[in-house]
Amino acid sequence: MNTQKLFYKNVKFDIDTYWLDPISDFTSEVKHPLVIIFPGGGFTFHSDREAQPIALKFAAAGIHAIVLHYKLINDGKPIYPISLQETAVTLNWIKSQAELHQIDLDKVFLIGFSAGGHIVANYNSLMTDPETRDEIFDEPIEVEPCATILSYSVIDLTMGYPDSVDEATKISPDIFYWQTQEHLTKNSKPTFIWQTVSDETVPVMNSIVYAQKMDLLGLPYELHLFATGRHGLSLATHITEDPGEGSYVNYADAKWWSMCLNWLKLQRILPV
Amino acid sequence: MDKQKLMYENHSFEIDKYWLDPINDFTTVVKHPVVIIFPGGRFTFQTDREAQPIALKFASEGFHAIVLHYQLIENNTPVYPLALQETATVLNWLQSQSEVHQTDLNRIVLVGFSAGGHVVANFNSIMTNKTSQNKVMIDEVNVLPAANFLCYPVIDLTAGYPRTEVHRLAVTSDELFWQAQEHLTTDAKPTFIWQTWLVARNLFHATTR
Repeated sequence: MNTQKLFYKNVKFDIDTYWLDPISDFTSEVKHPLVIIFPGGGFTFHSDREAQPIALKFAAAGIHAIVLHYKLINDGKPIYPISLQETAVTLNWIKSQAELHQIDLDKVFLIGFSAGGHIVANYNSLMTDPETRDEIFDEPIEVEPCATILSYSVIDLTMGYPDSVDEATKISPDIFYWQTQEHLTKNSKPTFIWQTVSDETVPVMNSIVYAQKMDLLGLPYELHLFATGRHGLSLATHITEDPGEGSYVNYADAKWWSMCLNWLKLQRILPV
Repeated sequence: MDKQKLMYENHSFEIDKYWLDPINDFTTVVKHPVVIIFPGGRFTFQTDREAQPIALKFASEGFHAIVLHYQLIENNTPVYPLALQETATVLNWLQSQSEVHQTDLNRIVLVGFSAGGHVVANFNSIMTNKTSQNKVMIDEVNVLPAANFLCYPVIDLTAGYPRTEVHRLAVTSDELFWQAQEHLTTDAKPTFIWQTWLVARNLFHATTR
């Protein structure tokens, strides 16, 4: 794992890169898909549980992985539009790395967990549509994600998380960014959504309204709502279990990972 | 992934390290098992196909992973006993890493593919028993693996692979190291073995022709 600093104007941010090395036995070049991971953490930190363990799972599946340490609210400044601009900068940087690291630029996708999912959802709504994109980022974005994955994500800041308008205002004083589902367009990308019905932090209705809007727009999506399981499961196995906190292990919900890989094959991101 | 040079006496060799980082959300320290990977390659090279992809699979399952670039047939230097001494060096070295990287020294696993499997099999036979260990190395081996994985391994250098006596002698002219199964003792560790029948059958037919 390597850490890299990137800039949007004078805002600095970090990414962690997990590059797959070329296999020198092979006689022809292999290009790999790439995932950008947005860990959760209530917009106040980036949970390690949703960073490296996820990156390694993707790497083991033959996908380059990048963890984006997006803008948080700790300095009193809002998440938006900076976090979307950081994502755009990262995508442009990925273009510059494509030769060196054998990246398939048609197979770049985003995955967000909890608060990180709100940024992914906003990206899929606002940054795939030229009108809204050009208002937020004034340079061309050379790489467009082909798909997104939302894990127990915050979709709508008025739907139970955060629990007050004050908190939502800290995340974004501009209400334009509050309800990611509202700005979905026909240009938005296919999305895999999963959550638990019993999520005690982000109400499951968040996932439902996002899927509903995608359905209305005729956009491809897959939605899995597990009956039980707490918020923040990550892999839901011992790998991301907080020691002593058995509620982080849920073998039924852990199946989300293999369902997600299956969906990536449907999207032609992974080979069938 | 980081590369590291280690020394056995005045001989240097390389390992690739895939350490798991601690998860700062956790309030208690989690120690991870460690896998040491021996890629195959006919004793003349080490295939990338049995190195990083395997390391990443184990890492994604919560193991620290190390790829050991064990002694190959090079400049008339045989594979044995160096390959076993290098393995012992890595195991002893893991003691120095266990604080920094939270390793569980009671849960170390050796994984060998093809020719790399021969090294693992020989380690399991010869180096887990004090008497035979001392024939190979004077220094103490303070850390032993808990278990082994043998993936389509070479076990017996006289049982069909290598195909020529020249190649066998280049691996080692010391017959002590030829037949890994012969030196298994009750000190050897539990082992998971997998191979494919069709390949084995073809190999058998090739050697009996």
